[in-house]
Amino acid sequence: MINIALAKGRLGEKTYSMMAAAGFDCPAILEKNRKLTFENTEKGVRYFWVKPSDVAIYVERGAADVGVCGKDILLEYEPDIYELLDLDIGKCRMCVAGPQDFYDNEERTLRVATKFSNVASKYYESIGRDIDIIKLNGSIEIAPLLGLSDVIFDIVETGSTLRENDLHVLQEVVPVSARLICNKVSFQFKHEKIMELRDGLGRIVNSGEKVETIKLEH
Amino acid sequence: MITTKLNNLYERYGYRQFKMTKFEPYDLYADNRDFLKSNQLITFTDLDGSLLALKPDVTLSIIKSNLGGEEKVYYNETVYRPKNHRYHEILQSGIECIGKIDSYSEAEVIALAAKSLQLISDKYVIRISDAAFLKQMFETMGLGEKAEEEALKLFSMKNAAGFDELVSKDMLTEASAATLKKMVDLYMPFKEGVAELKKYAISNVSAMMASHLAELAAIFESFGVLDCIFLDFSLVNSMDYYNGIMFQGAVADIPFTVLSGGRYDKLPQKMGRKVGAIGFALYLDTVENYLVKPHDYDVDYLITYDGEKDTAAKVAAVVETFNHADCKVRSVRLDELSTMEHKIKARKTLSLQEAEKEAAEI
Repeated sequence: MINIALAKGRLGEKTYSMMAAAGFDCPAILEKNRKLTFENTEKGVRYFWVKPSDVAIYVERGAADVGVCGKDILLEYEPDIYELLDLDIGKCRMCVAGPQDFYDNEERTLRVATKFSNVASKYYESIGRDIDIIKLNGSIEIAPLLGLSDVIFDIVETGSTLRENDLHVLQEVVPVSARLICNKVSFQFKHEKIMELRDGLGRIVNSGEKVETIKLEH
Repeated sequence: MITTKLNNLYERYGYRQFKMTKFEPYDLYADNRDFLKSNQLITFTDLDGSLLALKPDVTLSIIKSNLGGEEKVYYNETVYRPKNHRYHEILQSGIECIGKIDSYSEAEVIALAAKSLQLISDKYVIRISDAAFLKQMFETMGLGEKAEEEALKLFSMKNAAGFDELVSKDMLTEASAATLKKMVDLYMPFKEGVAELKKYAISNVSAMMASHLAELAAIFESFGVLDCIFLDFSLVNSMDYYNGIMFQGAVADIPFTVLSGGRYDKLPQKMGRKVGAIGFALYLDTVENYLVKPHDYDVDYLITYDGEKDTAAKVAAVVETFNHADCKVRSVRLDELSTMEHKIKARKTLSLQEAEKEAAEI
């Protein structure tokens, strides 16, 4: 039996749809009920929903053997896990954004609002820019509008939220996509099953076929 | 319990127990920072003003005390290290083998690691990697320092896709990426893995290293531990510390690595000893946290009495009877039952009269 952590939301639905297409379906997850875990003993899988930013924690501590989460989370928390596959879904970019006419005056400390303080610190350290990190947990875009920060460091999918707030991408830092991650000890003890899952998903990713996303209650 | 069994195991292979002092001079750790997992130490001044440290590590002390002779030792010690941003007292057990390290010594240490895990769980795995082999591969491929660092990170995460990114950044050739991707994916029983590894040996030196690993496989077989040993190059942390074979152990039901070790000739050399060394440490605190089953009950009988003057002797008699029958008994005054500092979980809670009846039946 392998335990699979799904990220609540569209990413989790897409993940499950791909896993089902790879032969790891679980009819119980489609039923409307108050259950928290969903099992298919025949296929040897158990699914459960968790907050997207918690997927890596469940996997790192072995409560889930595998899970799917964004590269942004992996870069931020640097969990001690295996990153087995790029699923090529949930794609976005980690960017620096600010007002279009933003001029970076290097004499001042740059104030950066972000959810990703670790990634942002590392990025600015790599280019040798002195910054002041303002860690926020949501609505990052509002920070430069109110003068809380000079720029924001955040993930950008379509850019529509940025446009609505009159912000522009100033620098793309790293591309982000969803990754299949795995607990390092589970990898050893449930090796065959996990490789079966990875290879099944790998075939779908490589073939480029579109898997229809199944709507799920969670 | 488990430590007694482990000590016994190591002694059967002729290892001597190493007892270390609680404190070491701070300089020992300051001079050998590269060989410590963390730079943070608990330090304090001795009465004469010299700076001391609580031991963060046992290996350094063992090598310090060795004057260049052949030696096999084991230890059970508490070390003081930061963990989750705080200092913790961590119980550690392990062995070190010092001297002219040949294939037998290497294999014996790894076999003892396997046998240690056997005492913890019947489902266990030892993974082996070779730091020198990887270094040699990178060198032959002409990887720069930055590329090497990135490649090691990808190895530790088994992130094969990441090598394509390195190619696109011109840090790696496509042919090298193809080889490294296959090596990242390699996770095989040791003997088969080593046979496979020979295909990746791209220089005479790495071919020789692969043959050395094949030699080890044969010795593992004689020790009867070959089945649980796997080849896996994702084991790359502490590559600066280890200069050859390195290994980690895990058991089913514990989601973290519980044992890690390897060949570390650089440390004795730095201390001016002309010897090699190999050893491992077992993280007993993690093992105990996961595997020691909590008791169902604190005591078998909790006896309440009212404290009238003639009851004391009766309570004593009942307690003695139960005790002779190998039961744990706790007595408490009835009026203090609700104010007990620690609530006690008892298999049976009895009044004195009920207890006397029960005792009579024993």
